[in-house]
Amino acid sequence: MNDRSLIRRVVLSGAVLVLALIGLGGRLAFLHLSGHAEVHASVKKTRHIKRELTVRRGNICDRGGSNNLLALDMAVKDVCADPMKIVQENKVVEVASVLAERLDLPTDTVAVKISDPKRRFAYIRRYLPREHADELASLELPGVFLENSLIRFYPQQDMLCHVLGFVNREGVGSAGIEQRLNRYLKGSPGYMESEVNALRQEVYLQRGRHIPALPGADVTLTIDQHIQFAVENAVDEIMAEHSPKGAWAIVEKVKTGEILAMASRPSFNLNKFNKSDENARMNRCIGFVYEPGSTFKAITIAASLNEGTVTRDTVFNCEHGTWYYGGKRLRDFHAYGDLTVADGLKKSSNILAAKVALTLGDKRLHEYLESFGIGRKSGIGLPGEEYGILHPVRRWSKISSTRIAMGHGVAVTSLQVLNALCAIANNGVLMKPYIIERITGEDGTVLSQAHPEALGRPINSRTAATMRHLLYRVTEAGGTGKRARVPDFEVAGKTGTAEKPSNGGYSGTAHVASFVGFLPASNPEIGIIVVVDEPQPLHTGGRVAAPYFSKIAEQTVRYLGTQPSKTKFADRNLSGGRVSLASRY
Amino acid sequence: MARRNRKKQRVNGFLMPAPVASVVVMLSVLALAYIWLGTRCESVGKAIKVLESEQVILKQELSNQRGKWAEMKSPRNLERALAKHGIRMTLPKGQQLVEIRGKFYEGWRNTFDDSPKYARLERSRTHE
Repeated sequence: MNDRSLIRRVVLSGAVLVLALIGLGGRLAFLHLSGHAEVHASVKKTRHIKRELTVRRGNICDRGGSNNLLALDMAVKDVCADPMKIVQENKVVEVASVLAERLDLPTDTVAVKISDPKRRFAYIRRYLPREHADELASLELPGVFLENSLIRFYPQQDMLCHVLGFVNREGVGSAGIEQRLNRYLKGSPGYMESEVNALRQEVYLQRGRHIPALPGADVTLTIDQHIQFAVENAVDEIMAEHSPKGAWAIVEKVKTGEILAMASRPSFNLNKFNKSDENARMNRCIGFVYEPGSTFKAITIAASLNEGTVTRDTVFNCEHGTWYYGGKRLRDFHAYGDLTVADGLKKSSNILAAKVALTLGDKRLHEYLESFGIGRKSGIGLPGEEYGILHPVRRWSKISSTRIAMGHGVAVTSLQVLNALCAIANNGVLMKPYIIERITGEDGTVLSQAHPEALGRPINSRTAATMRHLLYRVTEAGGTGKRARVPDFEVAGKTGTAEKPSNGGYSGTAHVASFVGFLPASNPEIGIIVVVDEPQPLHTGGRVAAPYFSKIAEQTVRYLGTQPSKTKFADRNLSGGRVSLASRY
Repeated sequence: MARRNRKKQRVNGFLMPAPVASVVVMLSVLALAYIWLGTRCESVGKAIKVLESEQVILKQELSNQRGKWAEMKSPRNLERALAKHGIRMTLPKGQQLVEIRGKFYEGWRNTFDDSPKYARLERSRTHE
């Protein structure tokens, strides 16, 4: 080959190369500089991603703080499939059998989900624990992939189920605290705009808007999980022993209104809330309205003592068990002759309570009931709370006050009754019950802090002190509530046995048995109510509810380290011997 | 002997003027620095992304472990675990409480609150 030929070839090759480069350059210039908006938009759209960042829902814990979690979000995986890919690879049978075996699902169900060649996505199983998901991922099944997800988890399962409530599959609180504080708990999801590379991996440098997710606030309750556990055990025992339709109990701090425990039966497992029925989901502590029966006598007598229409030693004729008033008969469970107010309360005389109410008059009785919080919501802040039924005085008949005095013709929630008794225990000051102690943001900022709040003072401290003693006598020998006693402690309280309304009258067989009280009687700290709906075969508050009051109270005072009062009612003679025969009724 | 004329020495080929060469070098350095910084930013970005995903995983793991821990130490599970080993625990009665008084204890008590503290010791009957 001579020089000229070589030169020609080199020049030719160079020319071809230059032409190729010019062509590529021209194409590049055309793509980049031309005004083909649709080309630009298409490329941009392919690379641009907008993503909502999932947010953790706030935790719920008991009064012990974050160490005692009652509800939290847990990371799980959703098992998903690309049916088109599985069909294309002809692996339907193989994948379906493996998934069915690993996920404990029927093979045919899985096969149906993954055999549609037109679909690109299908959920096989949602909310799979991460350990199981990792095992599944290691199998590298074609067309099967995992997606991150969060699920609400309740470590205590059915404990406190009615208070906590639950979150539906869309992440919205649908009952209890979860519903009430949903706006705090749900947090705020984040948002991100960015670009991805050819491997669909995000290019960090191209990240545009990035608003981090704001996790939900944590909620601290006034509930103590150990007291709650004791109460849950007690109501479970009631259900086992007396086969009632329902049983429930509340423990409240007398001086502050803090709810330490609230349990209701029947209950349900919060982690399987969708398998429970409406009846089990009802929080009977605040949602069940019933005629309170004799527990109401404490309120009637407190009102009369406060108004001075009677004293503790005023004697009433209890008509030997049967009294006609307004053309209607009123009976006592046991026949009594003359009884002082103190003894009438101790023996739970209906006739005495009715006569005491008459000394007060309809209007004043109604005012007192209202001031004790009857007929209105307590303000505890839980969804599903009922008002109860307290008719206005204008709708009362001649005998209404005589029936309301003994807890008939009026309907209440157990929280209302407990709170009213706690007002007597708390020197006459009615506290607002509360169950939400604190709401704390993720950074520790306290968003809301509850404080004890007085709603009013229905009775003065002197009346309250007298009532505490009268209620203490109920648990003494000869009283209806002696089974509510707690070793070393003086207990004050009142039994209640109410026939349930039925067909325009009252049922002779269906009762609501209850006991409400507080301790230590002379310096109360804890108020407790136990209510049992239609217990069998026993049905009186003194026999059915009082023993469980005692059980709950004993464990609560031991747990809290409450000391018995040094000044005991039993050591004092408070009767005064001022029996006023002149004021016989 | 004739003297050698050093000034007339010439270099064959093109000699780039110093200012131009400086500009070229500077541009090259800038370009290299730009490329290096770009690469560095990209690698840091990747590291951030890795850390971000690690953080998410660790947070999820923490949350899961806290959930499991809460479940394990729930009163019901504790009682079940104790029962499994034939142990039954009850809270002490009033008479079983022994109050401790002392200099050190007083100081400690004042640090926290005014309520009295009690050591919970169960006395056997033989020692009473």
